[in-house]
Amino acid sequence: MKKLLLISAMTGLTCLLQAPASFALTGGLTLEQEAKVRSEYPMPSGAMLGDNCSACHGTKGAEFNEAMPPLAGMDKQKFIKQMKIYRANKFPSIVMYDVARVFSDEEIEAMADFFAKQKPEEWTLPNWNASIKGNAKENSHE
Amino acid sequence: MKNLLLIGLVSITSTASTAALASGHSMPVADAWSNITWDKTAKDMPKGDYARGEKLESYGLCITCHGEQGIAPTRNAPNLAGNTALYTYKALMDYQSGLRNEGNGKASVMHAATTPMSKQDMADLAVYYAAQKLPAPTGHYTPPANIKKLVTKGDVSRMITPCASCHGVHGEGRDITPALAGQVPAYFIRTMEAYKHGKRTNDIHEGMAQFTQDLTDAEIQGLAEYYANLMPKHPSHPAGKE
Amino acid sequence: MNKITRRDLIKLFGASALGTGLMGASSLAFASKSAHIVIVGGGVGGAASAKYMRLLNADVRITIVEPEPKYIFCPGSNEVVAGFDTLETLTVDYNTLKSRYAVNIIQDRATEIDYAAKKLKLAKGDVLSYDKLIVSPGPDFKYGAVEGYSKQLAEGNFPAAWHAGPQTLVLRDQINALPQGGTVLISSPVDPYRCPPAPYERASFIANKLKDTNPTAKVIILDSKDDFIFHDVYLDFWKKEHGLGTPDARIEWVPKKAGGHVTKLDTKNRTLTTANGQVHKGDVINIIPPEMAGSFVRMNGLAEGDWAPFNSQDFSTKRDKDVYIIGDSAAADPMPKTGYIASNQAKVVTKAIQAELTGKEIGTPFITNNCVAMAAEDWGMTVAETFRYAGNHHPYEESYVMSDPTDNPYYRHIRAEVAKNWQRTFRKDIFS
Ligand SMILES: Cc1cc2nc3c(=O)[nH]c(=O)nc-3n(C[C@H](O)[C@H](O)[C@H](O)COP(=O)(O)OP(=O)(O)OC[C@H]3O[C@@H](n4cnc5c(N)ncnc54)[C@H](O)[C@@H]3O)c2cc1C
Repeated sequence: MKKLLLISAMTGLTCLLQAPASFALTGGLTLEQEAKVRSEYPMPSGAMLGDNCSACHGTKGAEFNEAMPPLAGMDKQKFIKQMKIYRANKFPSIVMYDVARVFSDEEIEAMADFFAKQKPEEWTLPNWNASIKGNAKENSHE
Repeated sequence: MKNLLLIGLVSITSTASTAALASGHSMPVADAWSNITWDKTAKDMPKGDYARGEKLESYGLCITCHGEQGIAPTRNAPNLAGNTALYTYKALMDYQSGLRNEGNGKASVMHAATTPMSKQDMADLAVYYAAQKLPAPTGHYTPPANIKKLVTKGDVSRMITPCASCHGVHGEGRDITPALAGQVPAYFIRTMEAYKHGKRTNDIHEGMAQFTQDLTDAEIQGLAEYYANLMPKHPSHPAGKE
Repeated sequence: MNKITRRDLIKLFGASALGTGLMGASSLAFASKSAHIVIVGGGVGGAASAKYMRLLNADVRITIVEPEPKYIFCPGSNEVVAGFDTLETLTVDYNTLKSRYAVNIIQDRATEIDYAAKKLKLAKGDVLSYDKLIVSPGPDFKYGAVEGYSKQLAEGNFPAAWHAGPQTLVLRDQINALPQGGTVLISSPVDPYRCPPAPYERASFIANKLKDTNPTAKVIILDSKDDFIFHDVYLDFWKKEHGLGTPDARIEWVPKKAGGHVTKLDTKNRTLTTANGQVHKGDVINIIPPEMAGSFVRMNGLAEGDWAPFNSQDFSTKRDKDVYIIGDSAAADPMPKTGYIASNQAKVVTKAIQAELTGKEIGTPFITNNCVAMAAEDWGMTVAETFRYAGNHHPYEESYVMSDPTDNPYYRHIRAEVAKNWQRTFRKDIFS
């Protein structure tokens, strides 16, 4: 984080990427440097990449919430197409360009395979409780 | 009809309280529509500007979840392409007022997304999306007899009028009755379940909810598949071509 | 095999729970011949380790040692301070981990590792044998960094409220009782500390609240740093909403270079003294102390300096390859200390352990942190960070995209709402 702050202090000068209609600063490795680091080691597995999504999309991408769509059970080609659209920064997004920009084609495909295999969760009935206890109870029938 | 009236009565009292209990989050409590208040609102709808709507699709971040030209990329968000302008206009108003809240947190992103909108913005988006087209469905689908019957004939014994009588034979919708052809099935199902369980309450006098009470989950599933596979009246591509 | 686990199993699961409903656990998950994964701390890092270990392996025995009967999430606790959420929403228990994932929970404090015998001692005297030990006890606070401050004061009338719980409520009540035109002092610590934007989020939430209830009151942030994450967004917000830079500003930020670094607390006169000798009087004083690794980590020789170093590929400690360190206690710079990070580190560790148990190669790790911070209920901002593996003895390499100030209200509104959605999904991802 120290480094992040340092870089953010300099972003006025070093920020090169101006995303269309996006109001963002970039920092740390450039995408070229990132790709170089990435190429030096074997690709992380689809599960390793995909499990990073769970804090927003739920365990194994199964959460069916309003803001973040479920990824579990998503058609492979649809997933790939959509991630590449985000990565290309074709239009403004809430965070998905920021997230997708670092992935290689192979990584996107590995994640697509990983999520296509997962069991989707159904939309929980709308009277679910905000607290986890409510959630747990409501999901217990699944 | 008795059934219907009874439910109608209950609904008036429950609408306000649902909104109030919506969540720990700040969702405003909105008044339910009556035919009179809605008719006046519809009459006063500003003339939508397509070009402004197209800009707002990106600037307002609609495109992030509802996809380019209102064709939803995931099963989370509905398609907006080709829906009636009045339906979209009303949906945006209802999200903004909190009338359409669907229980805790389930509509809070749309509430946030509509908060900055003026009526003009909503009309612009409504007109823009109404002019977009959904692709023709691919794949082969033959509707089961019972589903086809519900759509075209309804079920008198349960006082369910045919879906097509309001939503049109092509599922094209009319005024505030939404188009259903090509709709995302997961969205269709959860909407019907929300109506059925009294969680979606922005229809006027339970105009929709009353028909969902007696539908089985299997029928709802079947209807979702039927409409997902129904050819839109004006598809963006002819059938069989991408 | 030690007898503790078996005894606890009967105590905790009973006969019926052992019968049905366990997610992916086999009968081996209770047999003494299965590998035993012991976890110190049932917070974000520890609970995520237990759940994700079970998702990978039906047979291992998994035990969490945690002194508290319930866990209260920190994400959302600034909302509690400002009064628009409750601690109850943020509180979870261990029942689902127990019943669904067959995790053994021992309510005790871990004290000592016997590295040679691979045993963990607990405060009440129990001893656990482990095959793998995952350590995630969160941070400790350096109360002594501010002269006159102490743990006792933090638990009394000078709450730090940097671990959600009773102190959060004391601070909330103090804000509610602030005299008209009163002053709230917030001391923001040096890096690194958990959740870098949180002091500024807290200050903003308090100022927003006071705008309605106590408009002449003032929030002063005394900072031990000259910069912080989302600096430009927060300054933009404070200018637009709270008159920053005007004589009537409701919020003021004093960076280190302007004398913001707090050195001393005087409880009698309710003042904070800063490095340049300036004295600030506060009706409410919220000192967020600097941090270091939890005492368990330091007492067991896992820390070098304030934090515990590790091998980058699997988060095994430099001290012992069967002992892993994750969460806020780890020396993981450039990764920030967040729950998001702790949970993703847990996924790296559990995959590495699973690979070892099954005789496979440990794969390349990968970690992200996607954080939504708020300035108000309708003013959100995001940072998306990626951490790439760059060798076992090197720090991870970081790249990020971060929100800049924007006049587009859609970004602000939707991002704030996404933060709330995220908190719910995150609690569920870790605990159910
Ligand atoms: C105000 C605030 C807001 C935050 N917001 C966010 C956010 O929005 N997003 C985000 O990602 N992060 C956020 N965080 C940070 C997040 O809470 C921490 O980074 C995360 O909890 C770290 O996980 P951990 O497992 O290291 O520690 P913790 O979650 O603190 O868990 C440690 C556990 O170990 C137990 N323990 C300690 N010592 C022992 C021992 N000797 N034996 C057994 N058990 C022990 C403790 O009782 C505790 O339950 C926020 C933090 C704060 C303060």
